[in-house]
Amino acid sequence: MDSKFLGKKYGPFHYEVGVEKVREFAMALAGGVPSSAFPAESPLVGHYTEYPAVAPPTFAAVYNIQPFAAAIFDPELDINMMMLVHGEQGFTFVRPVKPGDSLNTEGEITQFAEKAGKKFLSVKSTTRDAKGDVVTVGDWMAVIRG
Amino acid sequence: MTKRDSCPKSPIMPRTFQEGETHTVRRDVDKYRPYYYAAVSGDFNPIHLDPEFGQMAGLGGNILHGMCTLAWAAEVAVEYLGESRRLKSIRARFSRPVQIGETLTFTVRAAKRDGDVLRGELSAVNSKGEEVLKNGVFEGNVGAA
Repeated sequence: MDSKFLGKKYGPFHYEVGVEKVREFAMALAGGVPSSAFPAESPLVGHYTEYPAVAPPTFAAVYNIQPFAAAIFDPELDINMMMLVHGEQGFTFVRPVKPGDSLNTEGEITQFAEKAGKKFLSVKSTTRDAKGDVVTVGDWMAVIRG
Repeated sequence: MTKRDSCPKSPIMPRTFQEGETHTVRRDVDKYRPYYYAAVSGDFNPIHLDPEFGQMAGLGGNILHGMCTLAWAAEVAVEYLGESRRLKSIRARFSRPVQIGETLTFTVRAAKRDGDVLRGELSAVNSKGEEVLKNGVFEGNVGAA
């Protein structure tokens, strides 16, 4: 663990949001149940029954994670994957992500520290659309135990 | 206050977004769920998929992805807010591994309303009542669409 990695950047990573992937993501959260299992007025139904107008908010896990994943697998950081768990997560959704969006995500290490025998890695990831406007900001934090 | 199980066809009660209002949903962590979530998220870390590996890593077996727990929490917030695009932010700490076979109870609570901005708290507890998410908060826009 070394503070020289603070500010280390990863990306940009490109991601094209596909309609079937959005449906599959929503279906996985629903557990593959038919849409008729939800109350008709549930806003969750619209995520996967028909052409989804917007992705579920935490679809961000698919496109906004890339810099965090790159940091975890960065050989310079020498992280023991077996001891790694997801510690904390925050998202700010500036606007909903839609099928057809062309996204670019860049991230940087905001914390790489050792406290009480555990190591903490934080990465802030910013996703922008094709116009360069910010869509989603993710704060990813991993704990490496022992 | 509204309560629902995983996916029954019980109605979602109308909400007022007044401070103190709650919405609760239970979700079952069935043994296939980590495989579903791995497939769509791309996170194939064996701690989520392989019970023996999870044991070896000191987690008592394979555990659900934290992001799946957070995704369910976000769904409960979206159901409460009434529309996906109303959810503006969400944040939580993964305070305890989620074991397979658990039933998680998610509750969102309207904590403070300031015009169209609703600040909420969210909690998730396992079958034993232990918190699997801590410091859970979300923000929603409850103005006219």
